[in-house]
Amino acid sequence: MAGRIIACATYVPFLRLTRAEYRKAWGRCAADISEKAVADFDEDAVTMAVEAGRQVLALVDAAGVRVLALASTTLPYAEKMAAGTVAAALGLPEKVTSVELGTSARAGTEALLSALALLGGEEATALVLAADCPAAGPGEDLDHALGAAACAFVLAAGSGGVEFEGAASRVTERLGERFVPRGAVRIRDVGVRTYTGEAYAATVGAVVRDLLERLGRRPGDYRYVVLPQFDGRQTASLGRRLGFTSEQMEAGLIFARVGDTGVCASLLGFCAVLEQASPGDRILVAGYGSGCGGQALSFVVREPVLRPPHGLHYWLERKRYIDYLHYLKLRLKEQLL
Amino acid sequence: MGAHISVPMYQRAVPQRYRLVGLRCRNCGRVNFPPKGVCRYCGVGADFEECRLSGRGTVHSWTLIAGAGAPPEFAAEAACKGSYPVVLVELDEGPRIIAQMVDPPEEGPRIGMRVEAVFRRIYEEEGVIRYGFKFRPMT
Ligand SMILES: [Zn+2]
Repeated sequence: MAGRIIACATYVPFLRLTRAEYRKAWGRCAADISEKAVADFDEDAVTMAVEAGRQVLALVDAAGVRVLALASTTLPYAEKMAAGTVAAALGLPEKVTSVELGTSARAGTEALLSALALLGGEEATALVLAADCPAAGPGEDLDHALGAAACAFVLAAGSGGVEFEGAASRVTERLGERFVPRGAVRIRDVGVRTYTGEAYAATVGAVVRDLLERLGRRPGDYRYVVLPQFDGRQTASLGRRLGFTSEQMEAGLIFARVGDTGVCASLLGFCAVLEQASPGDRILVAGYGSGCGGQALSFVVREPVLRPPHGLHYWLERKRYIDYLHYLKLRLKEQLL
Repeated sequence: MGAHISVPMYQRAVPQRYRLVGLRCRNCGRVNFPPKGVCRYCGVGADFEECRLSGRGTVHSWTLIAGAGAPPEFAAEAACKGSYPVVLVELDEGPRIIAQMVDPPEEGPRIGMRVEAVFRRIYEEEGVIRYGFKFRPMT
């Protein structure tokens, strides 16, 4: 499965909630964030996906898009195609082959792999959109980390660009870790952090080792490594255990500024890295889905990606702080409607 | 004073509401948005070609909608945000349109301010989410 990334873009909503607001409201903040991004009243996974998508489609022709892979765990309808809304908003051809993925946060890397597979060797482009705004009960520790963001990638067949080199994937049964019961909108878990942390470290660790073995690589062969970020310390400690240095990890660590962005939990960091990578750099990016499964993908930069005028740094700096009461109203908007 | 728009009516307007598709008059060359049967500028042109507007424009005037002033379909949004600005924007292609402003500066909108259209939820009715455009300050 050959292919390459030729363009990428990101979107982070305007609103931010700080750690200090959690301390004021609850006496503590359960997540190691400094602040997190919050989707506004009129934003959802679809509008955020369109925000990221519009930016990349200013760089490549929408008429040439043959594949659309949309990833999100928070699509606004439990049943109804969301790809159609996105395609209509972006002006994509109706003949596009679309897939929607989203029963776990791993849907982000799943979308990249699906798009590469669906593209085959065709002389066309694939658009990958990942957007998420996960929520838990406002009184739950789980909610403290949950943020919002979107990213977009344009893929093409053939070589050049940021070339895909290979992937490793694993899936296994893991009970009680981060789930949303059917009919519910809020994330739950069994509340045992060491238990859920263990599943993450074991699964992501295993797929990263699988990938390195498959490609005959060592940790030091990668200029950048982006592991999924649902917690800052957990990601950093897994990176160290796998033999990666803070220099390799640093550029892709975004968690402390946006929070846990679900399907973007590693793709946002991947975009940050793509924005600064140089020809010859190798990039490893991993995904994780609770319940549970992992994926690791390897890329080599032949030429830098096309980038819109506003990179991730712009979106991170463009913000307005809200207080906890404002945040609570946004979290409870289903009850206001 | 809610303005009920049926789902089929909203459906017909998807191209203009989702991606600002307007009609360029083949007689006078001006862009009609929203689309019209007869050109509103020359009054005779009825032959059009579709064109997608850039979404960029300039704030011509604005007002602030606070709590009780919001139509029922926007009441929850007004309750949540406290108030929200509505702007009359002159698009770069000529047409003037009214829409909400999102992510406004702390001091509120300014006449002459450059804005761009963004895709947002407008309101929800009968369980159907109505998407469309709003304006955001350009930087
Ligand atoms: Zn005319």
